[in-house]
Amino acid sequence: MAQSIDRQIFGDLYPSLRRFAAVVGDDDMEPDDLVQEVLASALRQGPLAQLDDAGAYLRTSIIHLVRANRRSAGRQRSKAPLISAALDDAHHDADAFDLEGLLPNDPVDRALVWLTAIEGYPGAQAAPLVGLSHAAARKRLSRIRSRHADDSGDPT
Amino acid sequence: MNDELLGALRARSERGTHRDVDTVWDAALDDADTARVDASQLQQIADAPDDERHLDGSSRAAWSLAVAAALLVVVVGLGFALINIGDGDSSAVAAGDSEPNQPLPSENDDGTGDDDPGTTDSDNSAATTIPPFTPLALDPEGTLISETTIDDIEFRIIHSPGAADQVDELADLPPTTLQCAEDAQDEQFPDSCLAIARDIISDDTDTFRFGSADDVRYVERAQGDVVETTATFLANDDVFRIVGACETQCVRDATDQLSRSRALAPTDAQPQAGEGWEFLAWAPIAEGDAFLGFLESQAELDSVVEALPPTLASPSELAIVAQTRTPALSVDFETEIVIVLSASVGSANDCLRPLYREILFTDRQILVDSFDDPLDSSCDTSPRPSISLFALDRDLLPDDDPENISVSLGQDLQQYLGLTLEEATELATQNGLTVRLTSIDGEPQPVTLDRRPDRLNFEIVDDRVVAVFQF
Repeated sequence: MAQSIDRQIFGDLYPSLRRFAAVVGDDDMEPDDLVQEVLASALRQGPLAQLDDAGAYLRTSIIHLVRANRRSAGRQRSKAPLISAALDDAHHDADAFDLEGLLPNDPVDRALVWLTAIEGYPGAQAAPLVGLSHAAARKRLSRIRSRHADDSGDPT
Repeated sequence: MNDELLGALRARSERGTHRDVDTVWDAALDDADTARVDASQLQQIADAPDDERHLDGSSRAAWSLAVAAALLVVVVGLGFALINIGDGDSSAVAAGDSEPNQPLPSENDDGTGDDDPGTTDSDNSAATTIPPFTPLALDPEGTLISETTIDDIEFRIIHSPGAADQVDELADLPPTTLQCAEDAQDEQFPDSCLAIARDIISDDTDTFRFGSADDVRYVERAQGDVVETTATFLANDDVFRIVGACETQCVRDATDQLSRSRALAPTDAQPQAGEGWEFLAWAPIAEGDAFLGFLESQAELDSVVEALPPTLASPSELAIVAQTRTPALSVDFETEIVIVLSASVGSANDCLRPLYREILFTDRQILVDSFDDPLDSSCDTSPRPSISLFALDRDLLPDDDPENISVSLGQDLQQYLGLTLEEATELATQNGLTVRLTSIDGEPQPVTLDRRPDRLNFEIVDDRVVAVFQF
């Protein structure tokens, strides 16, 4: 019973979670893998139905997972500089979705922009999802805007 | 927001190999079940009946039942033992409010839990007293015995990813060995100080030491994954916890001599999962004793991590031992992190509060300080764990210059961060607090060390508060 409820919860969340994972995750991170991993992690802890906000929980988990993966990759690179260079090159090659470097590199930044500009979250709701205070989130968004404005020559 | 940027985001959101929801769901369910089987081999849930303060008891019970019904549990033996060479204070410590004392293995007990628990003389308070201790045990049928109550302290072991690889080895390990701390060289840490040692994973002996002549409460370990490097213990994601309660000198000794290099786990009474905290595993390191220096310590941590056996994950991979169930309240450990774990412990009239500060910065966590707190006189006979949040908002810092890094304490203090000194002072005054400056533009200011809970200590950079703590 609990599982079927969870299944339904997840089914409702899946499309948005997958998009979110695709945005937040790096290019070498398969979105569905991210979703699957955080879902599995959540299920280990208990039914999704127990969560106050499964969507928020899973989104936050995705960000954490992306960061963890990045750190892991970073350590590997630090241990093997040659491999690092190769990985970096591969990373750039694979960065086909970052149109001319438009996207912020930080997954949190990407998540913030996605949540606020695409999914329509108010800043106050988006901030905790990415583990920031509202003020910090505002600041980040402001920086992203100004940085992008600088890059594009857009005065706004 | 610029259309190009949003367009890039939308394009990115459709990347990847698309699977369908059922595929992902089924795979995740399989993963969860597999992990649960692995974890159940080593996981002991030892909550006392009244220890459900931060968990939804009914939900948890239901979930546990469902898991139990679904899984075939492979038995793994974990041996725990405790030796107490004490002066009788254990009776006071044992006078808790929950469970009656559990019988103990004798001092020479091998810690396997095979002994008849009734043979322990827990009433022998005049002579050497062995505090109540119930080793974690598994019944022969492989059903986990989910109880561990030591004195009035209940605890549980959380998490054991990766443990399955060592299951067989653990099962074949010799029973717990008790031994005196090898580095007990003076009277402050006398010969009677005992330790629990156990061979784990490899031929190396991984030893937990805690105690003194006065008292040793208990030492518990979860399986493997602890490495002793000189006097440093590293805990992997397989959480181990050591909670001690002993007399003043004991705590001080442990704090001064050992605990700096040891993780102190909270008991279940501390907020963990479910209360907005992400409780991470911890990897203590050296003796970074100043906040300002903790960035430098990262290099040291790196070296320690590198020395870990390959079976051990690096600290960042330990992360989220118990993931919060309320992510909206979770702490961003990359921007505002630092947890102080503390547990006031004591027996009789003695009480200390060894504090263990852990700073997690970027991908690392560092034990930067630990100290006892003799000022805490409100000691209970049972540990009273507490936890505090340090907040560090990196956005408010000029850069990562260690000279400008400090932390703030308190769950309600983040509101001061970023304010001008005048604004912060005004706010503090409104809140009935006094203030003082402990650092100006990275320059430490002379301060007294008297403890004033109604006083805020500000560190400012360019007239902005970058850290605040209550002391």
